[in-house]
Amino acid sequence: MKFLVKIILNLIVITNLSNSVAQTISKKDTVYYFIDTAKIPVLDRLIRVDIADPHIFYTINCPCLSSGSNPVFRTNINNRTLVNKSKVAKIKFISLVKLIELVRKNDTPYFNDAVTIFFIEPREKVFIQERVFFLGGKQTKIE
Amino acid sequence: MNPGWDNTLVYEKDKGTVIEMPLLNSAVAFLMNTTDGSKASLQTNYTKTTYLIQKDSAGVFKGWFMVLIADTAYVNGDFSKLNKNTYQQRDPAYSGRLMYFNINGKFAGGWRYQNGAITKTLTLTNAAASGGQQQINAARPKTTMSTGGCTVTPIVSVSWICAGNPTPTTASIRTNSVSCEPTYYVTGYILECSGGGGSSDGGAGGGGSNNTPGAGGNTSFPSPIEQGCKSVAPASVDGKQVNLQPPVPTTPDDPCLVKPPVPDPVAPKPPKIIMDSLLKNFPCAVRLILDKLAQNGVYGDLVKPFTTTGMPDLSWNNSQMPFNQINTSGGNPIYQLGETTVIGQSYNATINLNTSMLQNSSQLLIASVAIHETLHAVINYNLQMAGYNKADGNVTLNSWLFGIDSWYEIKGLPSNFSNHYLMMDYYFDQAVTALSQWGNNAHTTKEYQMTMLYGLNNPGENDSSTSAQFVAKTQRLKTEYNELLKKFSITEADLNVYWKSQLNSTTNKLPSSGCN
Repeated sequence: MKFLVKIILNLIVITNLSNSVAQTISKKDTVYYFIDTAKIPVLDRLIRVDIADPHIFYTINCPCLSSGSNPVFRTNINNRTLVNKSKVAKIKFISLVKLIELVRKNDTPYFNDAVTIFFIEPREKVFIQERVFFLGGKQTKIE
Repeated sequence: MNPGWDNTLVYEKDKGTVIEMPLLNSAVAFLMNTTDGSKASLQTNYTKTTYLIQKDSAGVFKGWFMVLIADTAYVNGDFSKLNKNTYQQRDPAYSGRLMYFNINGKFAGGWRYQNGAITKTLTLTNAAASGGQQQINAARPKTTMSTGGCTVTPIVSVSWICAGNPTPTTASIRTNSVSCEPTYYVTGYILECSGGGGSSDGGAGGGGSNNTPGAGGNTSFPSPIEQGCKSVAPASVDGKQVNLQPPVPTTPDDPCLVKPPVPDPVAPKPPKIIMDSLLKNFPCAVRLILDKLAQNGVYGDLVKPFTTTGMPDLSWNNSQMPFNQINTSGGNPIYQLGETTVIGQSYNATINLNTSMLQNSSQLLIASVAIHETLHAVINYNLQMAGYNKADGNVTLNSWLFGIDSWYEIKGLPSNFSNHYLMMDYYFDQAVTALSQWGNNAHTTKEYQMTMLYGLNNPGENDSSTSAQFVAKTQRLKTEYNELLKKFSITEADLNVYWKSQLNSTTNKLPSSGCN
């Protein structure tokens, strides 16, 4: 059943990707994504979290980059900050589909120079804000 | 490590000499006997760490860290009670955990005390063995689970961030900050089983121990040696198998010997090197090349980023690549012996070895290619880490010849060029040593050098750089390469003859069977 749910989620993402209109980056931009994995059982999460102290890696379980790989974002655990509820309430978040589309359409080595992505993660009373860096999907073969 | 010299004890025990040195400010934060994760930082008051050095009757030195984690009910607000407990003599009423770690930090045994008596045996596994560290977002992490007559307790570390101070280091900063938020990580698990270690000191210690069973009396803590090495059945956590390792025997004669702090070349750590695919297709490549390299001190050091943490991953596969292929541009036939693939700025790497090479070439050449490709993965790891540090605003120097900014500039260079340049300029001697260790020095040094030189003058395909830039890079590699040839008195003619014999070898190829 969980496997079926994952497939459906993937299908939704892929379908939405094909219908959405990508925004090509033309200037320095900042986007926010609200990430709330805690409420989703581990096996059902579309975003996997790996920790290699001090780095945290967020992998979107969608092989939708041009190389067929999953989008991966990295943050440094020591560089996170807290934001309060009132500030979070004013933030306009992008959807997961838009986030994937953003990185898929702009997968260049200069992505992080052009776009600043923040993940906002809810905790019991506050929110954690962390800048994440898109690791890119370009496949490099070294002989 | 901050030794408490004033309280260091020296005494005779078990026909040997013991030096017992308490460590100051070295409390270990464990989250035990509570379901409230926010109290984790307070638990440091309940722990005591001591460094033990023992010289036995044969003159052999052994060392451990002894960690005591007292029960809150035992301490009952009187933290001086912990000081009543030393390796030499413990409080007859001690309640809590006793754990030993060898000097490399490896768990070497542990017991649960209640009112002075051993009631349970502890084993410990780190989180890497069960799939890596796990972040617990909930503020109240699950603490203890029962399974198969044992209890499994996660070891939780906590990282704090506070408003206006992202990386507080002390409890006082956290206390004085307006708002702080902990993040909990499960870094390992403690398994406590009754019956495995005996119900008292005497039962657990076996014959020869001078411990007094049960509560009361003048007692001391058992040593890891006295306890023997009892195996414990694997258990599960939330239905997932975890590899709970009992203390690992290091020599046949002394099953609990903890070696002194000398480099141990035979320390392969398998967690994140993935060889399933290669093992299935070429088991002898894994057994005779990779496994043997993993027992190699120099190679073990090189590959450490992939063996000491949960990430990154290093995967080994095989695939068909050009091998003795006609060069349409003229010149020598084309051989591509292996390639390393990385995705974006990830520091994971996948190594592919040429199937034809595995079938036709000498084991020596295959081992050199394994080292060569491993170096690609290691260099990529270091370059990506340099990039991460720069992105995070951290400027650090690393062990290479350049500062971080130089590395970051190298990061932008074509991988074949930058990697091969570094392999010649920085890693060549280590690579030759790793190869000769793998080959038990059966060949001459010159043969190892010639084997490791294969492919190092390859600048790769012409990339986005201009033709003039590509020519310059190629020339720079060639210059470095020629300097090595000159240094080792090797000629191009030597190399061509030697490589030809190794590429299509008639002897010493990988066996096609017998390695499963």
